[in-house]
Amino acid sequence: MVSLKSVGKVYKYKMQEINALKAIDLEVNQGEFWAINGRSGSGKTTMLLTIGAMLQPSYGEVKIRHRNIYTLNDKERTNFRKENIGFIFQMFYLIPYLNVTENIMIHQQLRSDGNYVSAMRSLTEQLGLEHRLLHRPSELSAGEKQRVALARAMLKKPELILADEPTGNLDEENSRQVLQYLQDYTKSGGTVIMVTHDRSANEYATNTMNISN
Amino acid sequence: MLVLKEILYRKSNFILALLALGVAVSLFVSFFSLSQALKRETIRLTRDMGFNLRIISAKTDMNEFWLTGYSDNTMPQDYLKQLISFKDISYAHLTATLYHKIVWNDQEVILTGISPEFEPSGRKKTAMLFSVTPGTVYIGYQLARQFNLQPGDSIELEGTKMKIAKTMAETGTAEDIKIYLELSELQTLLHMENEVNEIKAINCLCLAEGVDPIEYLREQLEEILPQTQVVMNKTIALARKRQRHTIDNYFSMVLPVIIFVCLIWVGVLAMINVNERKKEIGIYKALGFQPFNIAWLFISKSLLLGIVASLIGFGLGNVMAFRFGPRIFKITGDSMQVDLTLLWWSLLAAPLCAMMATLIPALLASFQDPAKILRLE
Repeated sequence: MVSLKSVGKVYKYKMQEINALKAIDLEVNQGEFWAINGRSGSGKTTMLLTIGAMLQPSYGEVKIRHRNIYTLNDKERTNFRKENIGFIFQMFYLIPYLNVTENIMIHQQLRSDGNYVSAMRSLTEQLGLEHRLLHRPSELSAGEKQRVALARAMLKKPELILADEPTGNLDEENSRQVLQYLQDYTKSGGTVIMVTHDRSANEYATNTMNISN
Repeated sequence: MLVLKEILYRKSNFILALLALGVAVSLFVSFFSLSQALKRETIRLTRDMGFNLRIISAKTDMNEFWLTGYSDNTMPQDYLKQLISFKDISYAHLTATLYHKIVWNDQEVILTGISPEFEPSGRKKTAMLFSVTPGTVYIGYQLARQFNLQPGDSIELEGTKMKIAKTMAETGTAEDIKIYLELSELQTLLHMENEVNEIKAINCLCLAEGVDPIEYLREQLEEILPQTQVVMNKTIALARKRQRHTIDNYFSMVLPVIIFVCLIWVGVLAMINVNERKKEIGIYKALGFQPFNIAWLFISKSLLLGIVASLIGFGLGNVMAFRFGPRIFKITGDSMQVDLTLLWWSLLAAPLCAMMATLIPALLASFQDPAKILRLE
């Protein structure tokens, strides 16, 4: 499903080279739930964005479904991301002026997309958001916000969900719920790669990896 | 949809941008409306400086003409008809005049017969000169004062009794010793039927830049009435031309500066908006929005902004023009009208300008690196 071969990222800052990610190898199969652990600054987010077709590695090869995503041009890569990858972030990144329904269905703003109303309804019921559909993010709790972000990521049933510290801003109960949803997602055939420094999250993962830079 | 929701969420940004563009449109509309009124007012005021063209017989001794102030040679009054029937003539407010010096009450006075004014275009224009009713005279200031004459008094001219309809205000020129009559009446009195000394006119300011008006008028006259010549009072003519140029220059300088400043304002607000929405742009890109989709979020907002601003600005501009116009322009202020073509121009130009002002921020937004934005958190 996802294959990283000696992937690294080097940033240049004031004539200095900073190795954000050093020669990472990773093989992720469909249905797996990967927890990538590491301290702050270890390159976890850089690795996730690289897998998410948003950050070209300085070297190495990133393949998703046997396709080297960085051989695609910008437009193709954006479309690839739209069709195949869902994102969840620590800071939720919900659109502040849209309500829950609109945030989940944000893809609908792109005309070419299909109709996901029934999928949205069943997801919000499943995530316990059905009574919050017309609320804006500012009116939601942190746990609810992250569930909205989950619903947004899962709506189109992407093959791969990339989660960057999804429990970083949540209490224990909400963290447990989010991790459970992600685990359920992998059980239904999806693949999840999550970066976290919360070791307890590893219990939900099928595979773990520790990166240190 | 997204655009409307964002506008409602960030009202202050939109209102400030709307204010900038609305001010630009309203200033454009009000300045334009007022400039039209100012032009009309200037035309009237400069026109009231007097006739600047004098068509006289070609035989006139010019030395004598300047010494006496008029031509002793007469010409047929029909010349006036010939002139006004000529197509594309560059003369306006044509009036035939007959001057004749007589001794009246032991003093030399100039009898002046004036015809009604004619327009070559057939258009009705407000007359520049007064008209005298047959059987009455207008009497110059100096004569009225000297002989203590009042309106309603009667005087005798060449054996005919005439009633004074008006005593003229002081001009400080030879006008003060003139007695004005209706042209045909003076012609009958003097047994000079169909004779005039001069045709007065004003040149139209419609010639292309660089064309010497007097040369052009002489060419036209040579073609229509070769037996005549034209003299131009260049002081009046130049004053008229310069005044109109001053107005045109003033508006062509001031308006673009105002519009430019307002557009910079719109552009800066769009840039602030882009910065405010950095995370949002990042997530849109992560979710698969193409650069065009992102740019369109900003461009469509500016289009909407332009449409609303043009409607508000047009209304506000007219309110300003109609509020201040009649106060500023005493003669033509009341004849101001709403110019609907300005609305169409505003509807076309304001969205276009807003779009141009937002173009750079929109492009910057569309090419932002989502990885950079999302990694910064």
